Amino acid sequence: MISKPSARAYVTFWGTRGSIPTPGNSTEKYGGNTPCVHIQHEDTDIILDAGTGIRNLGLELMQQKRKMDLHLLLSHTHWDHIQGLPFFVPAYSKETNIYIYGSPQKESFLEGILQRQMDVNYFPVDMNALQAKLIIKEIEFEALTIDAATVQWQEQVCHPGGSVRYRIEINGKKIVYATDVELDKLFSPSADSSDDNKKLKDEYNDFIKDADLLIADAQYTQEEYIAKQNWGHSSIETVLKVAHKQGVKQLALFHHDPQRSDTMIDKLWKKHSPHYALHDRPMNTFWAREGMTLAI
Amino acid sequence: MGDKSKKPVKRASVRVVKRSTKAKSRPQGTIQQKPEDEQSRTKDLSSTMQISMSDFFEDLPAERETHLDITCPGREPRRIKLGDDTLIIGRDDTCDIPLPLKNVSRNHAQVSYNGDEYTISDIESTNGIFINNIRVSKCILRNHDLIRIGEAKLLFVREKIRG
Repeated sequence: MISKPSARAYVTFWGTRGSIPTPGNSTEKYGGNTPCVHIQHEDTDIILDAGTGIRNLGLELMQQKRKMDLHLLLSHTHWDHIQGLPFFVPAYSKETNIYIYGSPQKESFLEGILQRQMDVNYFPVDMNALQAKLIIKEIEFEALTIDAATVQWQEQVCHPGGSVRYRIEINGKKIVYATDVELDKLFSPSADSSDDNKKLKDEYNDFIKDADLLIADAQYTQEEYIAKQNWGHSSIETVLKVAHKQGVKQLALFHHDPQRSDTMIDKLWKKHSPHYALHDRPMNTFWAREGMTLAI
Repeated sequence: MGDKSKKPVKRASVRVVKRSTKAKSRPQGTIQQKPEDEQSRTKDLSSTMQISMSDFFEDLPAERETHLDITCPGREPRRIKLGDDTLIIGRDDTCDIPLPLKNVSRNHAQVSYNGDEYTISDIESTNGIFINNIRVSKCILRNHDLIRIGEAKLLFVREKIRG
């Protein structure tokens, strides 16, 4: 699913499911692999998260038979976001350089966490078997420059253990990846109205404002959310309202609940998308789907 | 162990009901007595024969049939069967799937097959391709995806069939 290089950025969804892989007939359309998104712009490859979807991305990249500099931005290190890395074939090639970025709050733990998931008790192959040059670093600077792309990042506190959101700006286009965050804690009518909360809301609003594409955690419906508070994920309804208010042009709802079948997603799409698509300020809303590439 | 206070376990009484050998008259609307010639045929079914396992494998769904149901204004609906070859869709007569519409580019999109899945790709068209109303550059197609190219609608259908 990798398009020919051109001035446009191509965003491909390789894993869209939250929490755990969900293979099977009922998830064939939207996909069962956990988070992985690839942004390609000319010869630049930016990968967002290393869930199980990164395995198929790796196979696709290997077909291109080129020397690769890959930039992997991790939102955080929960299983569903790093579990695919040991199965990422380019990581076993000497021809590959992989720059892995994660939250500075993990300090020197990021490398340790990735190493431990390849401990013999969890995985048969040691991390030393990865022949690619791995450069693991916590983000140090306010903005990161990767070729023609500028990457802004912010810590997200509304997720157990924390997570990072990224905004990638290429050729004047903004792509925001903001998964694993409980926006209802900030934006729901019953949310805490403290100054701290207001500051967090303002930061989020500024970060996503006028995004050409926002990839946002929308794991639960509002009804489901009631029983899942403090689990670190947002409700669809809250994400829709906040994104629309901030002038987001395209919203990809992401991190689908493991229980969410294709039929259920189709129904949600019919329920919510027309309202925003036909609005005076239209926002194209869809549920992210594995194997889909958008040109931004 | 040795608990004398334990009450003896009551056994459930079982009533054996013998089947009457006399044929009962059946109510109307139920299965009628089989005619005599049919009864003689079923005598051969008095014992159960083993089934050959090889028959099982012959009946497994081995193939998928894939096609596009195309609706194009001013034209009869048509069905294009998809195979291994890459097909070009566009306004030009030379395209594998011509769509003679003004809002379709000469070479608009292509459908390719990798042995498992079909993928549709935009080939630098002016108006783009939409899958279920989302503009995409490329997309792996799934059963009942609705593709829009200009004013034409193409329904992707993929079904398992017994080969």
